[in-house]
Amino acid sequence: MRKSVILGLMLLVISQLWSQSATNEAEIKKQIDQAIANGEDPRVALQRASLWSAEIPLTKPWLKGKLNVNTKFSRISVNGTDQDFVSVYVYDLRAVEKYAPLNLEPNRWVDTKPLIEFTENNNEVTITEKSDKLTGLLISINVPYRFGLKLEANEESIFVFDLEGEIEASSVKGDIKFIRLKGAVVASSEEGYIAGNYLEVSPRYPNMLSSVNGDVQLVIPESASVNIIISIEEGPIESDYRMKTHRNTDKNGQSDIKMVQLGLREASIGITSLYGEVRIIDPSRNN
Amino acid sequence: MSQNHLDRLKEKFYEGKTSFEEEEELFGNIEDHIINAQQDFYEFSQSHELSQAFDDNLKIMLEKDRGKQIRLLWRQFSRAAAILLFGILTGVLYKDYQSADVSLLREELALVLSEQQSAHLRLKALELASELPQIEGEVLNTIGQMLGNDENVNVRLAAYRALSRSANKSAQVILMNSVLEQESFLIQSSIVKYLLSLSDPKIKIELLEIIENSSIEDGRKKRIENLITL
Repeated sequence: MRKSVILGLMLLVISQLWSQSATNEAEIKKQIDQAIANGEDPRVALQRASLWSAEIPLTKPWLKGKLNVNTKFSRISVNGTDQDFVSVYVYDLRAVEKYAPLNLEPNRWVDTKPLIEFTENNNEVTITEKSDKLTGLLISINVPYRFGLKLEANEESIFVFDLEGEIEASSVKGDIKFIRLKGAVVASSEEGYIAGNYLEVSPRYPNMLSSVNGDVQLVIPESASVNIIISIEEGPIESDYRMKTHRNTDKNGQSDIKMVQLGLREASIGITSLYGEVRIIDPSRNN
Repeated sequence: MSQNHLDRLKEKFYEGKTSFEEEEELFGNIEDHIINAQQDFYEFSQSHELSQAFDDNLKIMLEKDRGKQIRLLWRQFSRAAAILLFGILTGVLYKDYQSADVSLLREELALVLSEQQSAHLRLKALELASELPQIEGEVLNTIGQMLGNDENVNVRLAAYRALSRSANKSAQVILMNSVLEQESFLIQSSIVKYLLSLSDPKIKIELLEIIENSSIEDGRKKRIENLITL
C-alpha cells in the first residue's frame, strides 16, 4: 500500500514537472511570436524572456572587477559589454536549445522566485545556484569588457565572449569555449572540448589548457607573440603554423615536446590532452 | 791664435759682423781644432788599452741592464695580468652574487605568488620556481603542497612538471606519495608514467605496495594499478 502511494506521488510530481515544462515552452513560443509580430527586436524579447534577472552594481565601476560563478548543472555564458555593472539573466536551457535555430533565446519561467544567489564585495561578484538540484538552466551574465573570471561548471559548458582579462574555467563534463579574447586563460575539462579564439594573448600570465578526453582547438592570429607548448598522449596534432619538436634531455632520459612559436614568444600557452586532438588554427587561412 | 781671439771671432760671427777674411780665419781654426781633437782622441785610445775586466764588467752591466729590462717587462706584464684577473674575478663573483640574488628574489616571489587566489598567479609562481637552479627546502615543500592540494587542475599539473624537471630524490618521493591523492586522472597518469620512466626497478614495486596498502575505493585502486601494470 505504502509503496503504491509513494509511486503515485512520484508519478504526480513527474507529471507536474512535465506539464510545467510544456507550459513553459508554450509560453516561450507565445512570447517570441508576439515579439516578432510587434516588430520588436527579438533580443529585447529575449531579455524579457529570462526566467529571472538581476542587475548588480559594482562598488568601484571604474576599476576592473572579478566574477566568480560556480554551478553544478547550469550552463554559464559570460559576455563582455560596454556597461559598467553586472547583469544576470537566467534562462530555461531546453528552450534555448529548442529556439536556437531562430537565433532567439527562451522565455519566462512560471516560477518567479530567484534561482540564483549573488554577492558583490569590492568589485568581486560571486554567483551561485540557489539549489544544487536545479537542472537545465543557462546563466547568462553581462560584465564590463575588462573583467576577470573564475567559472566552474561541473556538468555543463562554459562560454565566454568579448572579454579583456584573465579567465579561469573548469568543467568536468562540459565544453569550454572563449571567443574574441584579449587576455589569458587557464582552463580544464575532463570530457569536454576546449576551443578558443584569441585576439591577443597576454604575456603577463601563463595560459594553460588541459583536457583528458576532449579536443583542444585554438585560433591564434599570426601577429601574436607566443610560445605554444603541446603535450599530448595519443591524439594527433594539427597546426597551420610550423611546428617544431624539441628534444628534452635530462637525468630522466629524453622526452619530446611539440612547439609552435610565433613572433618574439612573449606569452606562453601550455596545452595538455591525454586522448584528444590538438589543433592550432591561423584565422587568415580559414576565413 | 789665442783662445780669446777665437772666442771673439765666434761671437762676432754669431752677430753677423765678421768680414770674409775673419770667417776664413775662423773656419780654418775650427777645422784645425777638430783635427786636433780627433788626434788627441786617437792618441788617447791608443795609449789606453782596455782591459778584459773592463769588457767583462761592461758585459755584466749590460746583462744586468737586460735583466732589469726583462724584470721590468715581467713586472708590467704581471701587473696587467693581475688587473685582468681582478677584473675577471670581480665579474664572475658579481655575476654569481647577482645570480644568487636573482635566485633568492625569484624564490621569494615564487613563495608569495603561490599563496595567491588567482590560478594565473600560482602558475606564474611555478614558472618562476622552475627557473631556479635547484628546487629544494621551502620551495620544494610549497610545490609539493600545490601538487596535493591546489584546487586548480592546471596548477597541480604545473606543480607535477616542476617537480619532475627538478629530478631530485625528494621530489620523486613527493610525486610517489601524491599518486593516490590525485583526483584528476590526467595528473595521476602523468605522474605514474614519469615515475615508471625513471630507470629504477624498485619504483614499480613501491608504487604497487602503496596502492595495495591504501584504503582508497576499489575503482580508483584498479585504475591506478592498470596505469602501473600497462
